[in-house]
Amino acid sequence: MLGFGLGLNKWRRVGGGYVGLLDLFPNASAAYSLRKLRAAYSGSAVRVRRSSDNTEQDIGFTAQGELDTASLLSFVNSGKLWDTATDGNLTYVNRSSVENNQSIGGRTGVQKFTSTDTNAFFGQVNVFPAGDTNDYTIELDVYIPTGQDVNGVRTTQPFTSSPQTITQGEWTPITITGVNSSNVNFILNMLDDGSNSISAGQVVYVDTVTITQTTADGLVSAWYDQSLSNDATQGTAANQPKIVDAGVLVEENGKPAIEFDGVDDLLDMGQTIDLYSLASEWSVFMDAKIIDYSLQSFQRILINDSSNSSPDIPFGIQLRSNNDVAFFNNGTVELSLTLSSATQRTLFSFIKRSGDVLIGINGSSTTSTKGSVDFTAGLENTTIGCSPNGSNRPANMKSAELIIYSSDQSANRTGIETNINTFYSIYP
Amino acid sequence: MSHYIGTKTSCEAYDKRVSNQLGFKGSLTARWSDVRRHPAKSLFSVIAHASITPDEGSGLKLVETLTPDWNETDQP
Repeated sequence: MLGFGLGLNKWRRVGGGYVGLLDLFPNASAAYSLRKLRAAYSGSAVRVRRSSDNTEQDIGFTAQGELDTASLLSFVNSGKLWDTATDGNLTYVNRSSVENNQSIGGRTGVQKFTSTDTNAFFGQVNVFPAGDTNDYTIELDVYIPTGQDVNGVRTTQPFTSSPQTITQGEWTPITITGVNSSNVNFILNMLDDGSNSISAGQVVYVDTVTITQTTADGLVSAWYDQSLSNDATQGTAANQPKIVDAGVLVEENGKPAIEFDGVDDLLDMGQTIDLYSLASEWSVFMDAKIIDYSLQSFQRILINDSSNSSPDIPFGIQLRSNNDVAFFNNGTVELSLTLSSATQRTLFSFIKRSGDVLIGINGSSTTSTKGSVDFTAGLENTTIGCSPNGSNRPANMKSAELIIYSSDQSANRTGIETNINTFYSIYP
Repeated sequence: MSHYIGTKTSCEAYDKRVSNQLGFKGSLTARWSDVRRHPAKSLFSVIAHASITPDEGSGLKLVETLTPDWNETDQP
């Protein structure tokens, strides 16, 4: 029974030391996961680009060996579209004037805005992309000298906020949150008791303005190999799969997962791992859940392609909307296996041995025919989520783990599958 | 996902325009989109960015999705 087998708690701390799947079943050629797979691994799980400002950061693991989702979400949701510390002073004024490098209230180097007419405002143009509807947190410090009519501010772009009342004669930090209503500018209105009907000569000082997008996407530019150095990477922004969607962690069954869009997303493992030559043996373990088949009826979750004409696929796992799964090996295609649902999360195992192949679906296995085509010429890269050209049979899927051995792991298959299933609860 | 369709040169110019505007700050991400060739026609496509339009006169045509004939047919 699950939970009482070989894989029980093997990913957890045992006897005070962390034991991962690769500690129990070592010598993988590549091991990608959103959990830590071996105790001695000191690298990160993934490298993530946030869509708000295109900065990248490595994301590692917690002490318990799980993906550090707190760091991930903190990073993705802290992309600043404006920060006076790095982007400089605000430059836009309307019915107002600006003086930089002013001193007031114990601070130096701040900006002073003075109204020249009623409905005075200031800010920064072209901060946001056209059509933007993301959530933002706007933070700034405001100082209004005593004796002014003006006693507040509010944003009118990117969204209209409620009036922010400022205590005159002291620096007041304000935080405004809201959703951009398709504006490109950042604009602050001066207010007198909530009204923008003010007189000329009203003064507002502003310091430390930051505009942070809190609904960014986190895109995976690298899924690091925890065994050797066969990192799966994607340097083209539009082809990067997501791990954070609009500020929210992508999950499957309560654990983080990587989502491929079914259009062109893929991670590229290069050609280092031999999943193609006729004489070689290999073992692959991968979880995947197809989200839907509306974009493609054939979806490749893992593929080692070639430039040969038919047969052209050395190795691959392809799911189809009629619930079957095709395992390719050296030109042979096994299409007879049927899943109970085309969109259920499934643990796929494939072991190519000297005389046959062993195919596993959620812990149950069957043997089949070994292919006969040697693909040592015309080889293309091995890719996760789509063919290497970024267009053939792209998968709209989630996945959290892929482990490849350049060896026959038949003896360890049950242990590896149980270890994966114990952590992800893929099948009962 | 929307795409622009046009010549190879115009698609590559659009990719460069978007890449420059996005200003990738990471060590891995280097460009916006691959330029894809139609398997049977002298047409190329590039993924459209939501808020960055092509240069005027580029001749690029915006489509909501690529038609199935953009996919190469291979087995099975």
